Parts: sequence; C-alpha cells; structure tokens
Amino acid sequence: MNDHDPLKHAFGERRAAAEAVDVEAGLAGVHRRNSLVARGARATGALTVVVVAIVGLTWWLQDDDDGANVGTEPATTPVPTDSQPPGSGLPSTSIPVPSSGLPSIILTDGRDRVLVDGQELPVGVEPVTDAVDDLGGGLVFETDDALWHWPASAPEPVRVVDELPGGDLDLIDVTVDASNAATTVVYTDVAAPESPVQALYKRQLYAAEPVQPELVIQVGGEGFAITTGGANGTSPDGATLVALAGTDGSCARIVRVDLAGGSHPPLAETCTADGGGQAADEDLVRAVDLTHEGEAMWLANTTLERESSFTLDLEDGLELGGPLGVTATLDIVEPLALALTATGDTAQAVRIDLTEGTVAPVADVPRGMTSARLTRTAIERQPDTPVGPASPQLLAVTPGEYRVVDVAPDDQLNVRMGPGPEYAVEGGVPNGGIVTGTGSAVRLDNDSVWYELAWPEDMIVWANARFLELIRPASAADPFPALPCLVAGQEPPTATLPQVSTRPPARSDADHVAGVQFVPADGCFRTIIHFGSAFAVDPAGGPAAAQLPAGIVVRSSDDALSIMVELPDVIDEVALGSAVDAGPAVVVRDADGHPYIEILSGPHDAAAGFLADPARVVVDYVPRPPVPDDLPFPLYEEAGIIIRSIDGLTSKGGDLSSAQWTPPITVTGFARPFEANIGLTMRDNQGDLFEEVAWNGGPSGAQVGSRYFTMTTDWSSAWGRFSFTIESMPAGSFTLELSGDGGSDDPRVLTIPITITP
Amino acid sequence: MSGDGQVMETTVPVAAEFDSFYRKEFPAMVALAASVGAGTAIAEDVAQEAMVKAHRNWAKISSYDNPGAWVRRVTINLATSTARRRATEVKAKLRLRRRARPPMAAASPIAEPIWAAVAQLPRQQRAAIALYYLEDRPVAEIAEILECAPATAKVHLHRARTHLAEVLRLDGSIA
Repeated sequence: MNDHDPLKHAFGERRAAAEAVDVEAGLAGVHRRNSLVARGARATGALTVVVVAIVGLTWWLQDDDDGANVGTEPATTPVPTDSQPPGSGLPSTSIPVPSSGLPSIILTDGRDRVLVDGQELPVGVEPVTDAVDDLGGGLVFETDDALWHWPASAPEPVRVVDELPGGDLDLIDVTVDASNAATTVVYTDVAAPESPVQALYKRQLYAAEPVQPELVIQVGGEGFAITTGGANGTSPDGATLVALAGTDGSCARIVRVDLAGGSHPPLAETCTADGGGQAADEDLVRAVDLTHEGEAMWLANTTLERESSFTLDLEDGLELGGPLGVTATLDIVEPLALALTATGDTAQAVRIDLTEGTVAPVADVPRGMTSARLTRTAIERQPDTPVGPASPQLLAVTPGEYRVVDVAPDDQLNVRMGPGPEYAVEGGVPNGGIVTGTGSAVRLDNDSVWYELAWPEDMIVWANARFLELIRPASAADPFPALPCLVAGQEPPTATLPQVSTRPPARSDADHVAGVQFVPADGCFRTIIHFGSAFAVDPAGGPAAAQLPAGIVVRSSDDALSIMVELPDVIDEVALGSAVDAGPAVVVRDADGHPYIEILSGPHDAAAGFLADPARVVVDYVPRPPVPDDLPFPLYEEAGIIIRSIDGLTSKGGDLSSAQWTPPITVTGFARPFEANIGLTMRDNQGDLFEEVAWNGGPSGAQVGSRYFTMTTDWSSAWGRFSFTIESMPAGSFTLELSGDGGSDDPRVLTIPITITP
Repeated sequence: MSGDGQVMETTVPVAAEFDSFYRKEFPAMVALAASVGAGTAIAEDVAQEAMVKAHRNWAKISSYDNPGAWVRRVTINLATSTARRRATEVKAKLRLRRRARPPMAAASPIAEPIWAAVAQLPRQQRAAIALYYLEDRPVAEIAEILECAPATAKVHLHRARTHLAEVLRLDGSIA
C-alpha cells in the first residue's frame, strides 16, 4: 500500500478511534445481556437436544432445582402477526419469584444490589426501586432495553416501555392509570451535574408505535446536581408529582411537577448552613426523602426537615426512633408504611400500619441496603391464592418445509430468538416464503404455538405457528422424479401431480435462484431450477413453451438449451456462480442484468413446467440426434471460459483443427474472468503475434492488431456473456488465445486453432 | 440441580476463551462496522450485537477454524443490512445517551469525503476494502470472510479502489 494513500490514512484513523473503545465495558455488556439465557440454560440441563431451543425454552423455566415451570405468556396478550410490541414475557428466571408469588418488599443498596422479599435479583435486571407503582402496586425494573412493571394483580411482569428515554437516567417514578392502559414514566438525569435535567415522559402502554415524550421538564439549575433516588410521591389526584432533590453541595431543592402542564415550581429548598426550609405547598401528603451530606431530609406534611437522628412524627403521633444509620427511607402504601431502620450493625425493615398505629418488623436487612420499598402486594396479596400460569407445553410437530401465510403484503413474519413475542427479532419472512421446521414447538399459556425453525448461520429461530402452513414433510419424497417427461412426444403431465403446471406462474415472488438441480427422468434429461419462494400457478395446466411467462423463456437452438429466467432482483453473484458447478449448465448474467440459465449440452428438444410450492421450474430436454462432423461446442476452459459458438464456419470437419472459417467470425460464450475482461490474442503458425486482424464487438470498437479485448457481462465467480467478431484477416493457419484476465500472462488461456479460408 | 456442576466445569474455560476473543477482536469489529456502513455513532453497538451473537453460539463458533471470520461476517451483515442497522440504531441511540463515555470518535474533516465515497460503494466492495485497509488482510482471508472466491475478493477490491480514485480524484495516490 502506498504510504500516501488517503484511504490508508482514513482507515488508519478509524482503526485508531476504535482502539479507544471501552472493551471491558463492552465485554461486561455481552455477559450481562446473555446472562439471562445462561441462567435458564443451567436450569434445563436435561434438555440438551438443541442449544438454541434450550435458550428459547428456558425463559419459561424457573431456575430452581427441580426445573419446575412457572410459565409466562399472559393470556391477554394478542399475538397477531407478531409485529406489535410485546406486552409481556420477561423471563421468569430473571426474577426470583417469592414464595408468596409476588413481590412485597424490595430492598436496595442504591447501586447494584436489590433484594425482593429476601431474594437477590440477578445481574442484568435493574429494579427501579424508587419507582414502585403507587396505584397498581408491584415492582418496576429495567432490563437492557425495556422497562417492566410487575403489577400486583398480574402473575408476571409486563413490558411497559420498549424504548427507554435517553440520558444517564434514573427512573424515579412510574404511575399506571386505573385501567392499566397508560403509564407515566419519570426519569431524572444524573449524568449532567452542570445542567441537571429531569425528563418526564408519558408513554402509552402497548402503543403500536412509541409515543414521543409529551413533556420534558428541566429543573434544578446551574450548580445543582440531581441526587439519585431522591424523590417520590404523587398528589392524591395523581396530577402532581413531588419530585427531585437537587443539591449543589450545600443546599437541596425539591420541586413539585405538574404532570399535565409541565410546570415545576420550587417546593422547598434547604441548605445545610441554616438547617432547613419550608415547603410551600400544604396540600402535599406524601413523604419525600432524600439524603444530603450523609443526613436525611424529610418532607413530612409541609415541613422540610433535616435530621441527623431518626425521629419521624407521623400523623397519629407514631414515632420511630433511634440513631440514623447511613441513611433511611420511608415508603407509604396507605394504610401501610414501610421504614428501613438502621442502627449500628443491624437494620430492619418495619411495617407501619398507619390506621392501627402499630409497627412490626418484616425483614432483616443486610448491611449496605439503603432503601426499602413496599408494594401493594404486601397489603392485597392473598397468600393462599395460587399464582403463576400453567406450564408451557413442548410439542412435537411435523418437520419439513412450511410456507408463511396470512401475512399482509407489506408485512413479514418475524422470526425470533425464542418462542414468544418478547424475544428479539432475528429476521423476517414475507408472505409465501418457505421456512424449514425442525419438528419442535412450544404451546404457550395463551395457546399460541411457536415452531422452531432452522435459520441461516446454523441458527435456530422461532415463529408463530399461526402463520405457518406445512407444505412438505421432511420425510416426503420429492414428487419430481415421478413426473413424466414434459417434452412433446413424451408422456404428458398427469393429473396425479396437480401441482405441476405448464402454464406460466400467475405471480412470482421468486427473487433469486436458489439452486440448479439435475435429476434423472424417464426419457429426458431434467433440470430443476429452485427459487426461494412460491409461484402462484394455475393448476389447470396448459401448453408448455408457448405460454411461458415473459420472465422465463426456454430456447433450444442448435448449440444449446437456454432457460431464460428474468430475475432482475438477483444480485447475488456468488449464488449465480455456484450453480454452474452443479452440472452442465451455467447461470449467466445477461447484458441487461437479467440472469439466465443455459444448459450446455448441445441441441435439444425441450419443454418446461412449473411447480408452485416451493417455486421451481422444471426443464426437460431430449438430445437431438448428433449432426455428422459437428464441432464439439461448447468448448470449456476449466478456469472460466466457455465458447458457446463460433459463427463463420465454412467447414466443420468434426474437430477444431479440421474446421475452416471465413470472416466475419463471431465468437460467443460465457466467462467469469477476474475483471470482466477477455483478452484476445492472434498468433501465426510460428507462435508470433499476428497484427493483421480486424477486430470488432468489444468496448473499444473496431481495431486492427494482434490483440483485442472484450468484456463479459459479469465477472469473478459469476458468469457473464461475451461476444466479439473477427471482421477480417488473411487466409492461413492461426491460433486464437482467449485469456480470462485480460492479458496473455494469465495462465488460464483457452487456445483455439483457426484456419482461415478466403 | 444435578446438571449445574457439569455445566460450570465446562463453561468456565469456554467463557475465558470468549473473553479473550472479545478483547482481541472487538476494536477491529468496531472499526469494521463503522467503515462498512454503520458509521461511528453506532459502530460500537453493531459490533456488540455481533459479539452477543457470537457469545450465544460460542460453543459452536469456537469450534470453527476461524471464529474471527464468522464474527466479521456477522458484523458486516449487521452494519450493511438496512433493517438490522435501523433496529440497532434505535437501541444504540438509547444506549449512547445512557452511557457516560463518548462514542467512537467521528471522522476527521479531511477523511469525511473519503467516507462519503466509501458509503456509495456496493456492500461487498465496502467490506473488502475495509478488511484490506483496516486489518491488512490478504485477499484470501478477505475472501474467506466474505465467503467468496479469492478472485471475487480481488475484483471487489479493485473496483472499490478504482471507483474511489475516480470519485475522489486521487490520481495515482491509491496504491
């Protein structure tokens, strides 16, 4: 490479920039994202049939010793074309399901440890401990790409927000309306100390498209940083939110956010220098707690207080006392409140009955826990009520080819990494597409069935079986070997194979040549061209060649049989090239860009038929009797040149050395040269360059000389057509060399003896 | 659970092997993703998606002769597939805003027109030229990654460089 190469410079700059990425953070991210799958896989040690199948199933299996299923998919989740946002399905393995079935008390250290009823959440699930739903109860938590809510009334978490808003955010509040049809999510940005921002998002639950944030509020101010975990509480009517504690190191600020209007007047501000301030709004009934400089601040009713000893006077005079630990929090789900008390080396979560005025310890708190949350579950749960859906069922279904059906033309069937809509989409298949079922399936609790499918790159994916139709069991024999020869004079197609039609396809979704197959047939040679999807075929049948569609032409000449298949969308040159290795045929790209298939086995009588599903064109051909003294066209050069014909022959003689030619001589063929160039060199019988050749037909037009070049319509592994003409040259014996790389130095040279007669 | 012990015994070295693979290959994947179509803003996420796939299938991929070729192929596919790139972009934008560290540095002003021209190349040409310039890979390895014949890879390289030379009016400076 040239040191002054600007490309080298640009790529070098890019490589250097990439070296600066945080590899360790990325690696941790990989492990975190796959940790859920790995946990599930460990739980299914007995299921070792297919790794990815295990991955898919494990989200339905509890990670416990007996591998008992706990189920997931809510019965209310509609699963139409699998294109709508998922409504549920967090893997149960992600959350240690409490023995009581639903979470009631959540403890956190404010960083990465969270205990749900005494069980620690796995890495990768980040509960939003300040976002316990006040209205519906339950647990709110984040995974890598979604926000989840586990309502008290639901047996499993529900995906609330698919796209988390931007910013280095901490979720501070989530409210869900009574109908569970909408949610309000409030985040605070903790990554911008110079310009603290609190973003408030309202999003529709289960909306088809993400709803843009309706409200973005900036609060705080210059020099104020948003403290984490520093706010909660909505007003009784849900219209306002007591939110946000900001600090600049000496003062703390509380604001009240108007959820409808977006205003956020300061509510209270206190500074360590003077010991406190007064809240302005006496309507507040919720407590706001925050830590500030290692001390607790409480908003009890209307007074913001800073406490270094823990004494909180609640409404009925109930008093919790004792030295304050690192911090303390309070959560209220009326008529209960939960307090985390810490004294010395011990800490407890205590439940306060605000009505009865009683206090009872509910959990020992490990060291380091700084926050406690109480869910409505703690109040409303009926411990004797069985919770959790039934187990999903493993099914055995017919392996084989399935067609995608009932999907809108502008849509596609999602295939996912696991059996359910909550799994990542790996790809899509349009209506009519063909997929391969492995024979495994899962019936979910909502009765939807998901089939396991084979997918490129040796992957296994899943798709909703509602949109799959079995078209050919894996065990079924291909019907083609039984198909009689289609060539006129041979046996016609029979009614026993109604899917075979000699009418042109009414519609073709085929967009690529999937392969060319040569199979035995009774009385014919048979070539089957496989396409990637289905034809719509008139089963009534009809005459063959005369009604071939415009896009498919079967042409039989003295030289060869050509099956012209116009597939303008075919761009995969590797696929095109690979077909030629299957037999005496070449898939060629014509000058207009259309590929076609040419069978290079001499003159034939031919006919074509169609199989609709999956789409195939079958071409039967019967060799014509050999012509005496015919030349052995096509001529092959293994490295990539085929001479299909040479016009201008005056005497065949049975082989090339005996043939005689009279200009103009037109040579046509196919090649896959390195750079689409075919180099032509004429030598005399002494092996010297012969200059008196008038060439034409190449891109450089008419030229005279010993060398000329022409171009192919494709290159490299794909075959392209070429043609050139020798307009004139003197009589004599010569040698024509065709080089596949545009020069005589290329070892891949096809040499033809040419005898010119006047 | 009886299976746990066995799984742990085998997964520890496998995990270590993947970690080593990741550390070695990830920066190159980022540069590759940025160069073949993802751009600098989401290149890291595209590369990460490829690595996540590799991790999920590591038991199989690690048995390949060249796992690096596999992950490069996936990276190229992710970076050049419009639909996949779009999906990754959505996630990446979210994550970008959520993470404190800055994304991969954008191109310098002098390189911007080069990247604009590279972006106009066909997919395989972009991939070939990126593998050639970023990693100094010989044609045979480029062909392996792109799953094509070496001659095809050479063609892609040649055409890409010829096109770039024309577009950028780089007379003779591209070797």
